[in-house]
Amino acid sequence: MAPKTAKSPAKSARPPPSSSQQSFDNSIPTTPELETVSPPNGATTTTISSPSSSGGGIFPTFLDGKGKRIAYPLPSGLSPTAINNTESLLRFVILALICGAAIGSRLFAVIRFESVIHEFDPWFNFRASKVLVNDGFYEFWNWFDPSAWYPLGRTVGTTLYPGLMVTSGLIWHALRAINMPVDIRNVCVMLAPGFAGLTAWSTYLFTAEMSTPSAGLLAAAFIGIAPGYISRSVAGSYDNEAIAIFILMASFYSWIKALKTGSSLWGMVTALFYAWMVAAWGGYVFITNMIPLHAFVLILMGRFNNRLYTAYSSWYAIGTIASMQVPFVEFLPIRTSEHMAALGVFGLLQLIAFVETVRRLVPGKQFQLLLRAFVVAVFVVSFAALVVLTFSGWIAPFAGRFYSLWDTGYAKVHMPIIASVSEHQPTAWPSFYFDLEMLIFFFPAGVYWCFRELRDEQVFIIIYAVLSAYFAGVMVRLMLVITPVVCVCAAIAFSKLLEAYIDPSVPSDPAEETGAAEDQPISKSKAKKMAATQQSKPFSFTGLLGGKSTSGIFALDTRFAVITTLILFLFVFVHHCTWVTSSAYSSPSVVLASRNQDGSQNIIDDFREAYYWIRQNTPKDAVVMSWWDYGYQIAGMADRPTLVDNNTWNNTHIATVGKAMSSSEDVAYPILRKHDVDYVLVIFGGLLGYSGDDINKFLWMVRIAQGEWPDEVQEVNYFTQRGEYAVDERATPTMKNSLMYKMSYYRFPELFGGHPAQDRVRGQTIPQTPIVLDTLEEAFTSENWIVRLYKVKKEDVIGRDHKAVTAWNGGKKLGKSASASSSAGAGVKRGRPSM
Amino acid sequence: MRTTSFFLAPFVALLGLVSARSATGDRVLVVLESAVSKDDYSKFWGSLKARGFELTFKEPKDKDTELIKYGQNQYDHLILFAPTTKSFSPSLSSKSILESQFGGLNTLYLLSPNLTENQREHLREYDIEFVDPKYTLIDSFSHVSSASASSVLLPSTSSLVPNDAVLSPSTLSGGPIVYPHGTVHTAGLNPYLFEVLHASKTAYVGEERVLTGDEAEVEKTVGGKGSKEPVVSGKKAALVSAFQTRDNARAGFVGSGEMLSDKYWGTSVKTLDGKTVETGNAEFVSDFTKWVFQETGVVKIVSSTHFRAGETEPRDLYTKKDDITFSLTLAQHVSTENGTASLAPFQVSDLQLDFTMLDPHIRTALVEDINSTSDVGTTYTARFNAPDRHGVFKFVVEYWRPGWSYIRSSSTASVVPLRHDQYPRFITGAWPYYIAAISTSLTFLTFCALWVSLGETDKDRKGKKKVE
Repeated sequence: MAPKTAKSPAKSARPPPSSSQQSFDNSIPTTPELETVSPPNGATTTTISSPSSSGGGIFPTFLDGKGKRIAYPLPSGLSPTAINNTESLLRFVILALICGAAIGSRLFAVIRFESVIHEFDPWFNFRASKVLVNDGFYEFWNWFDPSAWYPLGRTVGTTLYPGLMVTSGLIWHALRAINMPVDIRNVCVMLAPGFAGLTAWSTYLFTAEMSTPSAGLLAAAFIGIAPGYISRSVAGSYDNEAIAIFILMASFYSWIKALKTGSSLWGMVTALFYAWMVAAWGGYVFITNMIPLHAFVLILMGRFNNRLYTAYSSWYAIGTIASMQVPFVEFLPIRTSEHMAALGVFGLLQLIAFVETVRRLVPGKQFQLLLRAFVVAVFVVSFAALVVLTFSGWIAPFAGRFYSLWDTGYAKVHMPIIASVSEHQPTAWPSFYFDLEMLIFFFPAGVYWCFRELRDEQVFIIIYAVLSAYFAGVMVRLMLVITPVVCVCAAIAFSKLLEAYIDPSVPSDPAEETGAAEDQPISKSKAKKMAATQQSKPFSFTGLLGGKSTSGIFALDTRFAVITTLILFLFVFVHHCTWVTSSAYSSPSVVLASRNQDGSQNIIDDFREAYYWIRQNTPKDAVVMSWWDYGYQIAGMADRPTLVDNNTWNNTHIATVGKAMSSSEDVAYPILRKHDVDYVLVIFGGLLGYSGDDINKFLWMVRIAQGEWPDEVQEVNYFTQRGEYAVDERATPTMKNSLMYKMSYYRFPELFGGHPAQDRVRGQTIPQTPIVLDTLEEAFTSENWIVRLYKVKKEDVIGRDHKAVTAWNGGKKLGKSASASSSAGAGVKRGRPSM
Repeated sequence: MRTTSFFLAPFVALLGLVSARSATGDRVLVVLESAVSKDDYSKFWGSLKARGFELTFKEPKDKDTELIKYGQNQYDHLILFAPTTKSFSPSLSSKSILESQFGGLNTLYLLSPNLTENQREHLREYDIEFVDPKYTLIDSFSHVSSASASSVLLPSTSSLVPNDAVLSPSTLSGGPIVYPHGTVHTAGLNPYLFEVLHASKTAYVGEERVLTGDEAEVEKTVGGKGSKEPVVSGKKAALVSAFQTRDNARAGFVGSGEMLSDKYWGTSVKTLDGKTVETGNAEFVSDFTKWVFQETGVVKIVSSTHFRAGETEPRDLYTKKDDITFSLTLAQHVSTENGTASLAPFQVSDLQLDFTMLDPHIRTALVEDINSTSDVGTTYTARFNAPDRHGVFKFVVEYWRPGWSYIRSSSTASVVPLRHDQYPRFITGAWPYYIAAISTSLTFLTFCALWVSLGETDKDRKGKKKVE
């Protein structure tokens, strides 16, 4: 098949070259739509409304400079250069404003609270950035952190994606170089909003390649404020995703560019962005599979050509070598299944290119058949080799997180650690609307438009849309990946609608109206139709509707009604996004806020209070055990060694902590002592109603521990007979004796002075029976009881067990020394306690 | 806990100051109940004074007795000789005694068969169980001829539990020990507890009174209540036990306070055979109180260090496979004849080092290093290669022998992987890859050269085709 877009220039968002001249003529008058699209500004509205006020069914029509009928007057006498210049200036200004809006809308957290690092992972990234900035790149690279995963330690430099830290480090150095000494914390806090602005820009470029620049501007505006992306990129949310989405869009843009131009330079740009992505985010495998899939689909569609070959080969060769420079990735690109698709397509492309060359040189039907068979055979053989290598263990099979993408129940059964993360849960339907609002409805329409013009880049969008729609449905976290494509598709659909209703041209003759009405609304489709053979009737729907009245959709009132509705949608969208951003996504989660009864804001700063207490009151090498969620925060804010943290690389170690938390003191104590634990930290929300506390996460600890020690920890034992998860009187003995339960509710009923002790998260009443802790003593409880810290007692100085010590302290006497009277001195001594 | 300095600091500070023989101090509080006559034990008090101790005598109910004041122990040692006292002043309560012991107080309990229930409860905390009141140790075959069967004569060779740290060789081979009217206890499984003196084979626990020969009555007097409890006899009957807390505070339990009386202190007694033998009580009690009051069996860690081969300073980070040397200097507390104390070498052959991360990765013997051993301590060193495993490791030395101070040393260091520039640059095994890379590059260059040197027309034609 002859490549349709072979000679189309870089600007060819417009249809095939043969008709491009004509469509240009038509599209020039449509340019004022730009004003209406993004900031719906009054000027255009008035031009529309003033004639519409004059009449009911019959409208005054105007003539443009060339004598064509148009629906409303346009300024005449403008040279095409002036229009072009105005257009570019407007685009630039609008884009700049969009970037500003994208940055501005992410600053709620800084204004409401302070310039603080959010949540959990960002604390580690921040800490790593400090190491990078203070000690230099090589120290960062070789950084061994003895305080993480105590006592295993973590070779941080080779087990992280350094892209984020290096990026902010470079920014920090650049700012210093121009004599702007900025605290690294502020660079980290502001990195995500800054890159959100860049994302808007790259989305504009990407969409402009797909459709028109006006659609690009819409897409930029959408991605700039879409909550699905904001959720990961508010100021202070210093995580890999903060820069990853920009790189994602930039590399997709340059891929499309490379594919269109067939330039190996653009292929290399794609590869460089890809390498940056690999360095920055584990989600890079999405690109690693998207691009090969796109190429593969194009091959299947019979669209193989040399541009594809050049673009793909240059991307794959340079990108793979570049990605292997990241210490954490190293040989993964040639040894894991996730990367095999890219390699396979690369091989396939070479084969096809070879065959094409040979076919051109050697005519002959049998020979061609032979060649085709050869291609198929090689493909089959190499695929078989891949399977064999995988099963023989040379190529690592898919990682667990990948399996959970295909089988949503897989993680819960086999890897509770992955299933336990709330952002790995399947997405609930409302969250699609919550995160994307009206975009989710325009999304299918945009995909439909991509099907309409099935050029290479539209195929890309379709694949991206289908894949990411699936992924976003499987994992909440991947909402982030679908957001850009939803914005792009919605922008395409939206701009098509606006285009159709703003396009001022009307049929020149009422007699032709029925025929013309079908063609006219969209100049683009008309142009396309002229280029290709008549396949379908675009927008015949509106045309038919319009056929009833004399004026159809060319009437100004119809235009006005539809456009007003659309603009209303946009206003609601902006309102919704702002509301969601400010109410849901701008909480740093290390600082909480609540409303007092009089409406004033009450800051709950328990986390930092507790972490600061630890920093000030415990020895520097005191090991703090907590559930892994708080590992990074303890390391970052309290600066103490932790047993497990959010880098969940060692399931056994996490299970050990889970076992200690879910077992009785007798079982837990040896574990604590073996790991040199000095303090145990639990998060308890029962007093305040903070639902993200450890008791609510407790079942995951149990499950993870059960995964390692099925005989010792059993989930069933934590449920009541009727299968309820109860913490009140109905709670099972196992539950009540577990370390977590005891630490959470230790002395809790005392707060209520005899009244029923109400747990405000679970709405249950805690029994009044005092909880006795033998091996732990309370060291610190924060103001609102969110953080509770317990000190692990050492072995008793005179060798009693801790129960006996507690009993003795409580004034109870020993009846008879059990071991002394029974053994009569001849028994084997108990093992001496360790240090 | 993790640094040896924790153990060292107090000892080192004391080194220059203390001239007494005890390693911890010489303030002794003696709590005597009124039933005990102080003068009956004058020889014992004298011996203590001669060893440099300052004795303060108090009644059990003295209100002004204070073991702890402002969080500080007021005495270094306590002799509690009040077995029949039912209630003590609050500062001598079971709780405050234990608390002082946690703070380092050494205690000598001098007991008798009429031990009150309160004190039994207190002693149960150490995992020691005493036989019922009114029962004493009786030996019809070996006792002081001039006294009843309850003044048991114990041959030192078979009744003393040999322990280098506690008993001197002369005591072990010395005269028999008189154990008059003493109670008997059994030591539990507490790992900090060990026996020093037990009864001989022919001794048993029973009621001391004249028997008529009625077998049933004999049965009744022997052992506990009827047949419910086992008869405690022979070696199972512990008479003197010693206890060393986790923090090396010491306690001694002597079942018969009368052992210390002037009556048997350095005197001679007649055995049933009619022989006159010199009692070993004075030597035994001296040895035992020396141990309890930290004069013997005290070992200190003078210093510990670790370094990489070719260096001298300890590092926080070692690289995998590094050649690491760990050295530890131990010194023994010794008393000289003129009443001063000093440190002397402490030589053992079974000291070992663990290089631990969760589990010991390396366990190796610490060997005495003759070169660096000085007068005030013995230096032990171990040299080993760091394991091929990164993580936070501890150098752990634990040496627990009954009687000796527990030696615990733990210092932390991390073992890290090689730095990025520490790997070998060129490996001979990788030559196939080098050759592959070089040959591919050369072939590519050759190909390019050929391509460029081909005719213009040919190139044009091909280029055109490609564009299509």
